[in-house]
Amino acid sequence: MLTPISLMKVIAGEGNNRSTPNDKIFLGVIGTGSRGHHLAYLIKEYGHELGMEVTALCDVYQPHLEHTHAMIPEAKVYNDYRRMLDEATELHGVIICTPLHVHAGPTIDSLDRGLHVFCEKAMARTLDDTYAMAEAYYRTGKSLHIGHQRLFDPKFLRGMNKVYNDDLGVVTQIRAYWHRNNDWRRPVPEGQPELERFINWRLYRDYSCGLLTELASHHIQVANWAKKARPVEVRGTGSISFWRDGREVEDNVALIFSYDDGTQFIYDSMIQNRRHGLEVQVLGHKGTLELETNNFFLEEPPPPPKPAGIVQLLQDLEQNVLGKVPIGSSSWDPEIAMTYKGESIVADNNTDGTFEQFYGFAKAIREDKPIPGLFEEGYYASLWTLLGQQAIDTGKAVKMPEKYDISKFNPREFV
Amino acid sequence: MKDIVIKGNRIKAELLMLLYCYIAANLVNVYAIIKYETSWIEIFTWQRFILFIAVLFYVVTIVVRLIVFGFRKGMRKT
Ligand SMILES: NC(=O)c1ccc[n+]([C@@H]2O[C@H](COP(=O)([O-])OP(=O)(O)OC[C@H]3O[C@@H](n4cnc5c(N)ncnc54)[C@H](O)[C@@H]3O)[C@@H](O)[C@H]2O)c1
Repeated sequence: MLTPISLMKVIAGEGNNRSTPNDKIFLGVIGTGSRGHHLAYLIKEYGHELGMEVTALCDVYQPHLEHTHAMIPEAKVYNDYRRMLDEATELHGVIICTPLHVHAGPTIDSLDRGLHVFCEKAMARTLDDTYAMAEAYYRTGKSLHIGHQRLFDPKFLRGMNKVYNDDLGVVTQIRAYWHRNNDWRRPVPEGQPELERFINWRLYRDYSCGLLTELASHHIQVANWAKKARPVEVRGTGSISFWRDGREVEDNVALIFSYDDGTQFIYDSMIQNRRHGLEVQVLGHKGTLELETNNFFLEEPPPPPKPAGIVQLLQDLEQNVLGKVPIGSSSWDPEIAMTYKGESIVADNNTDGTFEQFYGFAKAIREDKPIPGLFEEGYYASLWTLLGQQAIDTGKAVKMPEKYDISKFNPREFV
Repeated sequence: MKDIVIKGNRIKAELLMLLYCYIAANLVNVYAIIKYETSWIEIFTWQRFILFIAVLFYVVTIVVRLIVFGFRKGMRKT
């Protein structure tokens, strides 16, 4: 079972069986675009802490491959991931940062070759590909780590501990949003308009479900984690309401995921206003977590510390002398938000968990077995993003078809 | 210009007055601590504020004495 404590221990290095200083972990990166380059950079800079090294790079787009190769010149380069898997025999694991529709092939092929896989979220473009990845994971017994970095973010881990310790009371609603104000487009090299769909794959339905697979997937994972459950139903709506530039994915979505116990997870995302940024709020009858901004609020705020006696005396005198005489009162006070500032979940909020994920990946590789429960978090988050898209497309409430239930593979690890 | 001469007695009387004001301010602090059930340590930790209140009391006594003095002088003239 995946508990926040077990992941905290992973980050703290407990149980990370580093037997000899020579037990290096060699990794290949498939897809060296913006995310792949960033992860390769993190491993180059900080991977020595974990004995990790990138020794192979693969991309079908030469400018991206060259950009990352310039950063790690000692790595071998490939244009075909299958060739990389055949030839780079030193590899213990691969990091897959290709576009969503190119996650399943490299993942399954790598697992089948006995490699451990870190694949970026969301898992795949289709339900069947997502399920096929799960099937390969259970079949091979290697780890398949999906890039939902909040699972390794200390503020989310501590926050989840608060949920599990009943500090929030009964959680009946979770709200999350992700707002940006940009067109989400990447520049296409001049004179090569044929690269539009290749570069801006996020905006086209064949390759991506846009805001859902790219952003919402993270918060669905958090909601499932907080509830220790998966939704039973999702309803949603969406539109292309502002960026009418030929894209096929919505720029404005709203969804409600319902859980068995009556909890509602309310999600919205848009890319034409960034006033509220992103947040995920876990609302219980005793308290609230605002995880992205590292805040915890009690429903009954602790009373502020009493001022010194002499100050209270002066305050009373002032009130008696200058105090207002009420001449009437309203029958209703507007129920505006509480002004109490809450408390920080963690004192040092200086990471988003992206690098900490590799602590988990390193542990899984060294022990040659997955971290129990971790994959299932990624699987159901990915699956429910796709079901959310179905709900938007059909205008109907959507449930998960029975065949995608993976508890049959490993009932004990089911979230 | 005429020198102002403050006699030793006067200085003694004023210092005594300041001491009374300081004692009064401390008594007010003790009263506040009892009334609002706060910590006795405030007797020491709030001394700077108590000194400020003592000076305030002292200023009040000066004002009161000036008024009384002016009033008496006026009475004598009439
Ligand atoms: N976890 C996060 O916070 C986070 C953040 C950003 C992106 N991502 C994920 O990372 C993945 C990549 O996103 P990105 O922004 O880097 O996209 P990108 O378009 O910048 O990079 C994708 C790269 O994959 C390459 N590629 C495409 N097909 C390939 C193939 N068959 N073999 C090898 N390489 C191939 C492309 O040439 C490109 O260089 C996506 O799944 C995205 O959702 C996750």
